[in-house]
Amino acid sequence: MAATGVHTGERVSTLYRKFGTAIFSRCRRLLKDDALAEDATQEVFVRVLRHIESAPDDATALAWIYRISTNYCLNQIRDRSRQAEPTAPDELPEGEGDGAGSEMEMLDRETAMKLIRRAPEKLQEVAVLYYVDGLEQEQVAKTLGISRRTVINRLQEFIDRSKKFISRDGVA
Amino acid sequence: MNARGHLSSETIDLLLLSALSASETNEAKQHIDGCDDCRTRWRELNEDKARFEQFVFARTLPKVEARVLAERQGFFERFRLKLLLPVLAVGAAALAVVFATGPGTQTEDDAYVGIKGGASSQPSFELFAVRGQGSAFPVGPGAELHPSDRIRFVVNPAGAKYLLVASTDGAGVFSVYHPFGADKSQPVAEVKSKLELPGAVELDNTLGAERVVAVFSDEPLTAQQVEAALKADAKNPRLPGVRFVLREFRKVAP
Repeated sequence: MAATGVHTGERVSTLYRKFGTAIFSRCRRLLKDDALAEDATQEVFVRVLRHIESAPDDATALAWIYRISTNYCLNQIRDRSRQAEPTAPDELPEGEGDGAGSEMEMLDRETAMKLIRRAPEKLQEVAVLYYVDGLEQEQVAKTLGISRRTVINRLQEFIDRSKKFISRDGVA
Repeated sequence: MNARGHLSSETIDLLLLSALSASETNEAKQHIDGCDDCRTRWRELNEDKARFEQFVFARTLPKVEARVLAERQGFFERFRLKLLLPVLAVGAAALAVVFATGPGTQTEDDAYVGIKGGASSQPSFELFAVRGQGSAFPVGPGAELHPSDRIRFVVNPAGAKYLLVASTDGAGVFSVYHPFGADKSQPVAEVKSKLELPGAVELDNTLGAERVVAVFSDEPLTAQQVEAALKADAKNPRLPGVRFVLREFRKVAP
């Protein structure tokens, strides 16, 4: 456990320089707006600082960064879409899919993000880590502190919903 | 390389941090050389690194440092001073009584169960909350918090060796807040007074009464043991040799 104490500005600066790029790049990719990404980077770093200070290695620190920055950016995206769109993102039609599921594994990140923005909140984190970050199911489970079975179930639900969406509207 | 034939973000970020082993580094670089997608991601990450270091870092570092300093000094020191003043006046032996009368504290709903010692050996547990960019405030009895508020914890272990902080929310869902998401308690630092636990917990959207409990013990406990004790008796949980301190607040929509 990290003891209470005020770290020097130098310590904060060193950690910010080291991990800032990973946070900034991630926020930029998810938010697609440089100014928002800059604000988000500061906020996420402050939130993640204590975790990365006590992390035993860089991989653990990155797991915290992925978890907290994903959550923060998805909240920002949801806030923006609530202001812009009157309909809930999870109100997808219940029609049958057209077999797009086999192509889901090969989704590029841009397409994945378009589908993720329309997915229900509970599926978004899992889908970002799996499709955008390319983490394995086990890594997603560890990062989010949930079981691998839950990850599999949520990914399947995401695929089912995305197939319906692609069948109806395409993804462009 | 993941099952889909690409490097994961973790591998690429670790490569940028020079945190991969020599063989992993060679493997990753070879893959990047032969994979268009991963080469694009690697190039983008390096462009982001240049942009961050050239513009973003210098522009935002002062704000980040100010935020961190405010959180660590202002948050804890301000309230520690408030809480310690009455303690000094009355004496350490009356710590529990001071908590009943001090600012932002609560005892009526406290449950102190298990090893009984003198008043000075009783552990304490305090909650503070931060809303948005506002100042920290103590969470007292009957407090109403909002989703997205961030709560933090200050404890006095009073000699206990292990600590776990858990919550049962308005939907009855049990979560471990400290160590976050862990399945067992963690050794707690030996301190003479109070200890601010690292990290903050951001409240989710589940509304209703939420009960947070600090569990102090001399032996490690599993989260399952704590959850079972809370399910058996939410207001007066008991485990042999274990001390529970409860706090409760209501989570309401803003």
